[in-house]
Amino acid sequence: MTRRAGSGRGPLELAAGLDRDRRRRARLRGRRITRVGIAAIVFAVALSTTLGLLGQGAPRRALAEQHAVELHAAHDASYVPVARGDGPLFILALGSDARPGQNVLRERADSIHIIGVDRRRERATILGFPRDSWVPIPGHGRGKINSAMSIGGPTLMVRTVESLTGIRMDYWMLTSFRGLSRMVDAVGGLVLDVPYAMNDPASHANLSKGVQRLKGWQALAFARNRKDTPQGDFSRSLNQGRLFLAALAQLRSEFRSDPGRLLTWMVTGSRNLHTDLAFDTLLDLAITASQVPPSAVNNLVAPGSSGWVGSASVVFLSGRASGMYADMRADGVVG
Amino acid sequence: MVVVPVRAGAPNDRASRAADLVAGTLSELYDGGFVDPQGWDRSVPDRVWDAFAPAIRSRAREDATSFTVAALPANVRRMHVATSSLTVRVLMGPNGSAEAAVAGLTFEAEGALESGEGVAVSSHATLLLRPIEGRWRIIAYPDTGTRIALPPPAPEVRGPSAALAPVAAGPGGTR
Repeated sequence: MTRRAGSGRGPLELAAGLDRDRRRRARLRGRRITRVGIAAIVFAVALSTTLGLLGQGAPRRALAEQHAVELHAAHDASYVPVARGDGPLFILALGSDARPGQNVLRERADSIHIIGVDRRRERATILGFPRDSWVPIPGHGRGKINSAMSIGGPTLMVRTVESLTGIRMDYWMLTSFRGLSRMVDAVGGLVLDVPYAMNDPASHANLSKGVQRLKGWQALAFARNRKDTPQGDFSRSLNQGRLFLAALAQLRSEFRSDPGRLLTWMVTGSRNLHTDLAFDTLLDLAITASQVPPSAVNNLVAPGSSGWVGSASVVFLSGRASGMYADMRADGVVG
Repeated sequence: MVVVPVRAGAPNDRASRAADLVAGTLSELYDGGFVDPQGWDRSVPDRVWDAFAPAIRSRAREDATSFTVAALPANVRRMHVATSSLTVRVLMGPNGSAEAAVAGLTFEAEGALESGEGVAVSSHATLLLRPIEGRWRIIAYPDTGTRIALPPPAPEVRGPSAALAPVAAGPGGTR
């Protein structure tokens, strides 16, 4: 006989309640989420009790009454499956440069990365684009890649990247300056190996070289700094990829010590991301991300050279970038 | 039941209800796997595996010794849970429904073999669950472990110094 602690309902009532929830979820699942997480809440429900697993009413025969016991067997097991699928998965990760009061979805994209996942071999590539890349914008001639979002929001941004690379995006996700900062703070900071010292008043990046835990505003400054870097926009895009990798490493580490931390990351992400990912898909990806070692992820930037179009400073992506797109298109990763 | 919000927000009936359902799933799993020898025939009853999502059910069967003592070669006459605790953290989605849960469970049980010998079991598990096909099911088990202790053999066989000596066994390694 089993009795559930804390439950006064019978199994049939519980099942009926769950069916209602499932029907409601099914209706909502088709809706694209533009801003999730306002209502996302994690509750810890602690049931600290004798669970009612008491079985046969047999009299206790405490082993303590016996003089000694020996460990007969120890069986440990662990299994966390990752999201499977036939083809590669592509997500366009965007950072908006919207200031407070501005529409996050209709300002320029300060950070533009394709995250390609090879689900079969559990590898991934982060491919960044310098924000000044001079590219065709569908229906709008040519322009800087970051302007596509201010013209047509994430939808045009996706079409622009798809048109440039020939890679079809499965999902997009977008955060803001404030969103990035909040996410980093919510997970207790991000441990990052800063590749070189930075002192840039414009971005407020004032960091020494080496491994350190960054607060939200420091992570944001690190991601925005382009003036005090070896290669300007290219370095900035690479550094933004480094933040992704640091987050991946930290999620993996925290999940190993406490799988419940995944829920905190989910709530944090859903509160600070705009995305067309359904919540349950986001959860699947988060579980998958918790299992991918950072060493299985390439962090790259589309190569090119700086130049001018009229008075505008731009980046001309090179032919080598086209080769990277083709490589990535095949299985989700470069190399 | 104590409801403890770990994020801002008031305690939520749906989270509590989900926790009840999670507790139900786990009670059935561990009741079937550890406490109810009536259903065992030196194998694990099928209903035990219903607690797992179909996608990981076969893998869970491979790890059966971590979830049950039913697969032990020795006949268990009865088992009795002495202490247990369960913590369920429920993730609420943007539409207010419970989307996932992380359960942490520990218990200690005592019992007897058909031979009359005592047996002690301690088990712990951290489990991820989601609502699948009408009930909360385990979708991953990042950490589980079961320890089984028996009285030592008679002194003339092993000697008194053998008491409490650990015997390492990996997954699948039973007597």
